[in-house]
Amino acid sequence: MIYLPSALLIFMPYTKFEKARIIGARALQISMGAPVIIDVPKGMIDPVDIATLEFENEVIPITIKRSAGRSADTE
Amino acid sequence: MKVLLWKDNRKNIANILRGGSLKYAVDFAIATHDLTEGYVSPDGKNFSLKVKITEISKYSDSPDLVKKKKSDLKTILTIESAVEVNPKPLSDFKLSSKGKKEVTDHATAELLEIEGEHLKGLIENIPANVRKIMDTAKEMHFELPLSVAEKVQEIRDGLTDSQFKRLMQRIKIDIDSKTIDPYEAVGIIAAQSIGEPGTQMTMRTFHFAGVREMNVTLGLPRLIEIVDARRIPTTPSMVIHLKKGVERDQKVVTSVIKELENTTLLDVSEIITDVENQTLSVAPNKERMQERLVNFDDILSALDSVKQVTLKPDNSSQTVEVKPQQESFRKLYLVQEQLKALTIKGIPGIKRAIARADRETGEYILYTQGSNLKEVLQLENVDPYTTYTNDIIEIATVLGIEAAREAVFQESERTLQEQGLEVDRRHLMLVADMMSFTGTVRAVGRQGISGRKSSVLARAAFEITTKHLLRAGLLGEIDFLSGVAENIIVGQPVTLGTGSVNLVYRGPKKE
Repeated sequence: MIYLPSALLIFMPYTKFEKARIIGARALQISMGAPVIIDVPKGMIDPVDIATLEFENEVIPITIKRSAGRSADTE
Repeated sequence: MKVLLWKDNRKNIANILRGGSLKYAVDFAIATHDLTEGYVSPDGKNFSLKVKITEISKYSDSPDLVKKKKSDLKTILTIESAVEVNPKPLSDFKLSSKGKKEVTDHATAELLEIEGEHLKGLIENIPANVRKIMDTAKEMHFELPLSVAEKVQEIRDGLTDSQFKRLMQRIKIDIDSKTIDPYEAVGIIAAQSIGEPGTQMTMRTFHFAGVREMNVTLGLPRLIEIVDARRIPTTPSMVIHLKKGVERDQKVVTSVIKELENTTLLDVSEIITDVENQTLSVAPNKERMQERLVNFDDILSALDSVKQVTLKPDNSSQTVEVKPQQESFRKLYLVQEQLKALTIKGIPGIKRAIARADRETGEYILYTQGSNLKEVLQLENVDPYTTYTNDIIEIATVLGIEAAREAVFQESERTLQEQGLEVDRRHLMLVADMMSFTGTVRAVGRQGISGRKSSVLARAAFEITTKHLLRAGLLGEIDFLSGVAENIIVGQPVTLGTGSVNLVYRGPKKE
């Protein structure tokens, strides 16, 4: 169970898992032919690289939904 | 400040509360007369009523008295006012062990002193300038530990504002890099971090302390023992410190050892049965008596407690003849058995105690074989704050779960450290937390943490699969698939790491 104060939920930057998940999801889209949102340097063809660049420029239309606490069931 | 403590029943407490100013007759004598305050407890453990006392006088009957009991009254307290307060536990009051016993036995009251303590961690007790630094950290969205804030405060005056800002930024980066992201698989990491050094531990190690040997289980067997939360460790032992002022006094040390070591009659003497004369003769061995710090008189006074026998002490040869008053072989046998188990002195459970002086400070520290925390803490010259036992379950019952948690952590860390292995303390803290968070010390494994998981599939994956599945089927248990093992079984992403993130479409960013 994680109980975070609401202030922390807002200010907390992306964790490494969230970052990986967003970049991963976006890279999959790009690899399947989705249009790239920003201009990429010439020669950059790896979808993961492109997704990372998009993530750093904060243009990926994906965000995460955090919940303050899980059910008390996990141990 | 001295205050008066006593236990009373709820009806009387209600009477005192209602009465305002009243004369209250109690059934105990009070030696001192300069008392102004008293605390009353309904259960002998927590004191919830505070009374203001203006006068203490000897008991004499008068019509306006409120009586604690019907008879045996000894003292009259003039109570000016009474208020209900937040219950204070008995441990908040400083009192002798004798006094403590009397309060809990509800017989008489003792005069006690309250010790007010200012805890370092309380926000009000942090100096304003240190608090300001902590507030600055909060504005930068991180929490600064008090110890770090104090260090920063020491050098704050030598820094310009921009230097200070840069320092704080560096601290923030450092702290952030050491915090763990939510949904990190800390349990697995802890298990591996403890398990790997564990493979390098010597299988069986014995430790000999001092000239007279005393061995304590160490290494892997001890670590397994801690994690299994055994009722009694293989080698229970205590480290006893003495109170300030007597810690270098050899006389006190010997007397404490004498009080500690549990010595039976059989330990120091031989018991010879004379069937013809129907007598038992106790022949103490001088060397063994000296070793155990027992003298002939101790044996005599212990023998006095044996009933229905006549004692014939022989002072010249230092032997005692014990003759049952009733002549029968059965009785003779019974008395013999009774003598064998007769305790001359000491605390049950403590077999041996040795003292060693610390080379630098000259302070004596006692090491014992066997453990009995509850009794040892009550000894007069023993410092209850630093005395320690390696029996974790005993700590849990005597001092409570928080102390037991700390003991699990410290014992496991020490066991690893003695083997020259270094494990990050946070891994051990996690184990200690998991073992104690339910309020009782639980073992790791089938009987404890792993065997009591709420998910059926997780339990079945661990051990005795069929039993758990069958039981769950019979009882109609529901599995919410919230743990790791369950989700692997059904083939879903686990609720850890990236698997715990819920993605949401945000729409194009508006400029």
